[in-house]
Amino acid sequence: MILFRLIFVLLSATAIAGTTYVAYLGHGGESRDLDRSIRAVSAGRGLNGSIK
Amino acid sequence: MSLSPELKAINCTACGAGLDILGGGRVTTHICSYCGTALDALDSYKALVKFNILDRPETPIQIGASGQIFGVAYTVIGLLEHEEVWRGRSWKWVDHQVFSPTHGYAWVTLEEGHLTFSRRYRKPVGWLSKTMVNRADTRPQVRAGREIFKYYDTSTSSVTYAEGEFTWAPRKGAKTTTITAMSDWAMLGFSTTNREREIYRTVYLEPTEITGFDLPSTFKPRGVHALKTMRAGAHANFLMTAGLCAMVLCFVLGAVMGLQNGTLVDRHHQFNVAQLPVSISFDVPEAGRLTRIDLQGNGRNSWNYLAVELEDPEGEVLFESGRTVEYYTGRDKDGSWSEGSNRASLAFFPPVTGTYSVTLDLEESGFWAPNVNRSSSPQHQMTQVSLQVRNGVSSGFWLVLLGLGFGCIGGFPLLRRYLHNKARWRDSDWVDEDDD
Amino acid sequence: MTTCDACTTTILLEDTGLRLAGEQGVLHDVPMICQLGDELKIDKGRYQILGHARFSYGRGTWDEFWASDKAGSPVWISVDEGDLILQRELSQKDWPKYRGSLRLGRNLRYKAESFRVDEDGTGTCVGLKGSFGHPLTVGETYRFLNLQGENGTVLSAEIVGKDTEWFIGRWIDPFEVEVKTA
Repeated sequence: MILFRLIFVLLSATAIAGTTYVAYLGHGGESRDLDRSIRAVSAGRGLNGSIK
Repeated sequence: MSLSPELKAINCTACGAGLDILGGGRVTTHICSYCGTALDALDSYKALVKFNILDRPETPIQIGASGQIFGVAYTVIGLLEHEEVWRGRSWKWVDHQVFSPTHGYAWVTLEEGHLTFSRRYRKPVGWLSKTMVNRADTRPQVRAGREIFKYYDTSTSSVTYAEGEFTWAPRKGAKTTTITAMSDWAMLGFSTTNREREIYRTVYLEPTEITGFDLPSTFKPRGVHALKTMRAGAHANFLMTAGLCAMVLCFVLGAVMGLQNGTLVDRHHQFNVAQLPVSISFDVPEAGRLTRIDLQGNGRNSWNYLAVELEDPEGEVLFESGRTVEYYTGRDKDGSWSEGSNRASLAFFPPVTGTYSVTLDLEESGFWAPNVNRSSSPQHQMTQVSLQVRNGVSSGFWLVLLGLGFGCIGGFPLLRRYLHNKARWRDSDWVDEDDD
Repeated sequence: MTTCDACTTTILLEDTGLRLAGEQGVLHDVPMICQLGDELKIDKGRYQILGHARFSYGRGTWDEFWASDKAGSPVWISVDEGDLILQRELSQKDWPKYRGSLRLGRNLRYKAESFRVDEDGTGTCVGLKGSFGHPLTVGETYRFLNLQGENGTVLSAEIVGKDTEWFIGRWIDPFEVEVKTA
């Protein structure tokens, strides 16, 4: 019985610690509409090199 | 056992059948199992009334069976069947009078496959009467010791069958009105018979608490009995507390992270719209941490689509995107209103350290409902746009999600408990006045 | 008063010495919740059983145990088929006051509680074992009255001839008694 509780607490603590670190780095706050592909017309310089 | 040890068996004075004496000195009436005659145990077993012995109710527990209840040895000495008739429906249940020389007399009741154990309650407790129940606006309750008992139901029943030994004289058809109240663990029954007040305390019997009595091993009661306390599982309380604490912790950490805005890179930049397109360079000292570009405009009742393009330190375009900066305001019959914030942001993860370049341009803009609202809602285009870059921004998103997950774990035992409690009280006949 | 383990007599221990009192009677072995020498744990109290007396009411018998609590004060524990009453003797100044005679069904008021006579009967002492605070005689018959209070209190009276003794106490649930055998 105590083993279950111990494991639960340990796993929870790890999950919270890990998620806090991830949150600290900023994950989850990034914009989702940032397209990595290059559009033909844009303000600024294009890609150096060719698109394959 | 306080009965004179010589008295072990008698012969029925009506039919001559041999009857075992299983009860103690308090037994006053013995109803013959063969002919149904009630014999006066205090008067040489003289014959009194005759009961109909042919309608013996079905029960796995027979007179003479013995077993253990809460670790104490009991023997079944009598059988009683009650019937309650209410609005055309009838309920029947079987009461088994049990006797223990050390712990006295008690009842084991069988109803819909559930077994309960009732004993006379003699501790100080307030009385619950029919008048009290009728007069009360809220569900009445009584306190007994540390337990609070809430009104459950009022029922009037009569004895339809009797056999064996009893400490009182069962009368066929005699009606008893019992008012019951339930706590988390037990039920109290307040009965009045011939101005004699009796209180009985009833508890549920789990299979581990009653053994013997020739009970079949496949005894499976249906549904939730009102007294059946929920078997919450060994870890229920722990999971609930741990889960809810973890949830609170996650929410707090999530809020902290969410408010964490990182550090401003360089300075606030402000441009006149006429200067656009414009490029700003900024340093990213640490890769892997969120960087956010905040934009703000000063338009009124207009929307402005700003194109944002970002180049990495190698000069490669990381992304091309845009944001609409808008703000609307006006007055109507409810007062003044506003919509939009004139702000927008873009956040991204810089892949490497180095100097990045962001290019800003006004791609498109427009007014909101230009013909309708020009008089009441002044409009003007955006003339200034400000930009700031912040490094090392945190986000509470995943922590909030984790918190909700813990909330589900912690809330699950609560939900089970709530549903079980609802089921327990389902058959109560209390109606709140407001519910009519 | 105490009983002799070797023979069948009872002995009175008085300040001036021992005095032969009478016979012990016979105590049949029957299932009992406790016996002489046991220590009972009831709520926060601890009671050492010093004497065991049995009384017959004709059809059956009940038992009375003379016990000592933690402070050394004497109590009586009456045991009758699962009905247990824990009582202390009342000194004469604390006796309930009433007019006329007491009989079944009669009400009286004692210390702001209303009582009703629930039991009125006679009992004969049929057996003794151990020590008691005052003399008991096997074969002695006396009248007893049990009064039930509305708050759960129990008042009992024991009458032998002109002598009366009053006791006050409460019912005890046998399931709440822990017996530590000697």
